[in-house]
Amino acid sequence: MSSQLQELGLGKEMTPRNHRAVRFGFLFLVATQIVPYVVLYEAKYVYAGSYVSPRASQILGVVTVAIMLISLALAWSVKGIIHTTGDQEAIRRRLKMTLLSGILAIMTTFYQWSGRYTAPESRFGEMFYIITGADILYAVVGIIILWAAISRAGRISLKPERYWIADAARYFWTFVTLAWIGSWIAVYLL
Amino acid sequence: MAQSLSQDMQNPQGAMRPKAGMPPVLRAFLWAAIGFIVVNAFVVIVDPFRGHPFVTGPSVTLGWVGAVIGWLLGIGSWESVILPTFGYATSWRERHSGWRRYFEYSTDHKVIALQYMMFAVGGFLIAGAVAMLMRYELMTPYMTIFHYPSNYLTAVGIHGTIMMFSFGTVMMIGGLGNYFVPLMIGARETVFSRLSGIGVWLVPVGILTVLFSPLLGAWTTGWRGYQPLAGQDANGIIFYWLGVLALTMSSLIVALNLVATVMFRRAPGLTWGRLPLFVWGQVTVNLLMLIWFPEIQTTFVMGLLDHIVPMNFFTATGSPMTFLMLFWLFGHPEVYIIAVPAFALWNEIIPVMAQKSLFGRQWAVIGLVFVMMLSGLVWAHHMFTNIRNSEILPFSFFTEMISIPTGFAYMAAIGTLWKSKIRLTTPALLVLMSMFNFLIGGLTGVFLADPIVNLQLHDTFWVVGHFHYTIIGSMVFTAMAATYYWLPKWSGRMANETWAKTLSIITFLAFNLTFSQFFLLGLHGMNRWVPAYPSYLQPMNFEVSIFAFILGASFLAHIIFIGWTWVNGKTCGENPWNAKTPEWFTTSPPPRENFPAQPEIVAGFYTYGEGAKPAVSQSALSELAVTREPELES
Repeated sequence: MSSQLQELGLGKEMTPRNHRAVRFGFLFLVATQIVPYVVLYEAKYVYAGSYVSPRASQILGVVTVAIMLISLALAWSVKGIIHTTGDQEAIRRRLKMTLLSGILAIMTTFYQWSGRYTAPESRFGEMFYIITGADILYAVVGIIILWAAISRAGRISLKPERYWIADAARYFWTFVTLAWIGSWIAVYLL
Repeated sequence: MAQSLSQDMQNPQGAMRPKAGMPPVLRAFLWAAIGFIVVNAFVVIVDPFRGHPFVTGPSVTLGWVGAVIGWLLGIGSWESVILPTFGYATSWRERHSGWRRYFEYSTDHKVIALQYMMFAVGGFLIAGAVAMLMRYELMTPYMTIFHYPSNYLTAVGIHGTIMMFSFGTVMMIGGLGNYFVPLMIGARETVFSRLSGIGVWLVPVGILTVLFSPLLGAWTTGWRGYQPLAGQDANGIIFYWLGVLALTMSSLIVALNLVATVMFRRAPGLTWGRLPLFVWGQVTVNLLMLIWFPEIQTTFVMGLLDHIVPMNFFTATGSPMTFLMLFWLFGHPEVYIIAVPAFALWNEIIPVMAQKSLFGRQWAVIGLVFVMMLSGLVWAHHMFTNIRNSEILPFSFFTEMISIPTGFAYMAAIGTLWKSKIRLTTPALLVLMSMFNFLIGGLTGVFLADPIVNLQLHDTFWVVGHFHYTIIGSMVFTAMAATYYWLPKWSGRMANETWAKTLSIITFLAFNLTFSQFFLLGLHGMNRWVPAYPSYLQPMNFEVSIFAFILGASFLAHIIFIGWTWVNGKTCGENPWNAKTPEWFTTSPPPRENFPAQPEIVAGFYTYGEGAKPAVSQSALSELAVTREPELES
C-alpha cells in the first residue's frame, strides 16, 4: 500500500531539507494562530477587566487544565518512541490516549456550558463562552490531526517520512494545550 | 504540450485515470448542496425558530460551513488529500495537460496561480458590474434602480468586499505571486502545494457567498462591516462575514506557502541580497497577511456571534469602537498588502524595459520593508472623527511618515528612469501610468492625514477618490502592466503593441476623468454612502458616470483582448523583453517542474551595461536534461 502511495508521489521519502521546510511552515502557521487568542484576551480585558464571576467553577477549570496537561505529556511521549524503537503500534496507542483525553477535556467544558455556570448575557459570561469556544474549536482541529496520524500510522510505514504526521499532531496538540492554559489564566485568574 | 498529450495516451498509467465520473466542479456543487441541506436541517431541528422557517441565522451559518466542506471535498481534495493523509490508497492522478486541469484540484503552482487569476478576474467583473449599477443610480439625485437606500448600500458593500478581498489581494498575491515567486527564485515546486491547491477553491466560495448575500436581506455597512450598524442589519451581513472568512483563509494559505517556499526553495546562489524585488514585495506582504488576517477573522467571528447567538461585543450596548479599532488594525495593512507588490513590480519592470541597472536597489527593498512595518501604526487615521485630539496626533504623524518609505520605492523607479532610453512598451507605459496615478493618490492621502482637513473631508467623495487612485492606480494598473509583461511567459505569445497601448491610454484617460472629479465632488459636498443627493451636484455626477462606464468598458476590452492574444497572438521567443530574472530562463509556458534542471544564480538580476554578467547559469548537465525534457515531464 505504501508503495502505491509512493507511486502517487504522496508518500515519497522526505529529505532533511523538505522536512525542515514543512516543519517551519507548519510551526509558522501554528504561531499565526496565537493572534486570535491575543484578540480574545485583549477583548476580555476591554470588556470585563480582571473580573471573574464567582459562579464560574474554579474546580472544573482546574480539572480541565489538568486533563489537557496529561494529554500533552502523552503526546510528547510519542517523541521517545520515534527516536528509539519507532514502534507504530505504540505510537498509535499513545496518540489514541491523547485524543481521548482531549475529548474528555472538551466534555468537561461542555458540562460547564450546559450547567450555565456563568450567565451568557453578562460581560464576563460572553468572554467565557467565546474564549472556551475558541479552545474547543482548536481542540477539534487538533483531534482531527491526531485521528489522521493514528489512521496513517496504522496503514503505512512512517519511517520514510520521518514520522512527520505524528510530529505535526504533537506540535499542534502542544499549541492547543498552551492555548487552553492561557485561556484558563485569562478566564479564571486574571 | 502536444508531445505530452500524445505521451499521456500511450502511457498505460495515464490511461489508468479513474472512471470519468462527474466533472469536479459539478460534483463540488452537488456535495456543497448536500452539505448545506444536511447541516442546515440538523440545526433547525435542534434549534427551531418561531414559525419554523427552514433557514435561520444560525442554521445558515453552520449550513454554510457544511457546504464549504462539501465543496472542497467535491472539487478533489477527498481523493487527493484526505484519503492519502489518513493512509488510504487512492486512485487519484494529477492531470498535466489540457484545459480541464484548471477546473479541478491541482498541486502545480502555475495551474493554481491561473485559477486564482481566473477567479480574481471573475470577481473583478462582478464587482465592476455592481459599480456600474452604483454609477447609474448616481446619475440622478433621486433613487431610480435601487428602491431603498439599503439596497444601494448593499451594492456598495458587495462592490467593496469583492474588490478588496477577491481581487485586490487575490490577483497580485494568489495569482501573480503564486505563479512567479517560485519561478523567480528558481524553485521547482512550492512547499505546501497540496494545501495551496485546496485554498484556491475558497475564492469562488467567498465571491459567491458575498454576491448572494442579498438573499438573506440587505446590509448597509460597506466592506468594513461597521458596528453598531452591522448589529441592526438583516441576515445578509452573515454572508458578508462568511464570505470574507473564506477569502481571507485562501489568502492566508497563499501567504504561508510563499513564505515557506522563499525560505526553503531558493535556487543555489540566490541569497537574500539577490532576491528579486517582486519576491521581496511578496514576502513583506505575506508576513503582514500572516499577522493581520487571523486578527480580522477573529473579529469577524465575534461580529458573527453578535448576530446569531446573540452576543453584545460590538453592538450598541457593547463597544462599537472596539470593532472599528480591530477592523482598521487589519484594514490599513490590507491596503498595503494590495499596494506593496505593485511598488515592487515597478522596479521589476522598469530596469528591464530601460535595460539599465536598478537605481538604489537596497533602498527600494528597505522602502518595502518599512512600509510593511509602519502600516501597523496608522490605523486610527480612519477614525479621526471618533477619537480624542491627543490620540489623533501620533496617527497623523505616522501616516505622514509612511510616505517616506513609499517614496523610496518611487525614487528607485525615478532614478532608474533618469537618463535612460526606456523602451516604451505596453508594460512600461502602464507602469508609468500607475506611478502617475499613485502620485495623485499618495498626495491626496497626505491631505487626509492632516487632522483639520480630514475632519472636513471625512466621508466625502474626496476620500473615495483618494482610495480609488491608490488602489486602482497602484494595483490595477500595475496588475495590467504585469499581465502584458508576463503574457509571453504564460502563453508564448505577445500582445499587439498598437492595440494594447490604445486600450491602455483609453483606460488611463477614463480612469483619470472619472476619479479626479471625485475630489471636486467631495469638495462640493458630495457624501459617501448616499444614493440620493442635493440636485446641484447632478451635472458633475452625470458626467462622472459616463466616464465610469467608459472605464468599465475599457477594462472589459483589456480582458477580452488578453484572452484573444493568449490563443491567437503572435508567437515570440522565450525571453522577448531580454530580462535577467530566472522565470525567463525556461520554456514558455514552463514545464511541470519549472526548470529542466535546478538552475544556479551567479550574479544580481538588476545590473545592466558594461561588465554585467548573465545571472542564471544552467550547467552542462541541465543542457543535457533539456533534450530529455518530455521524460522528466511525465
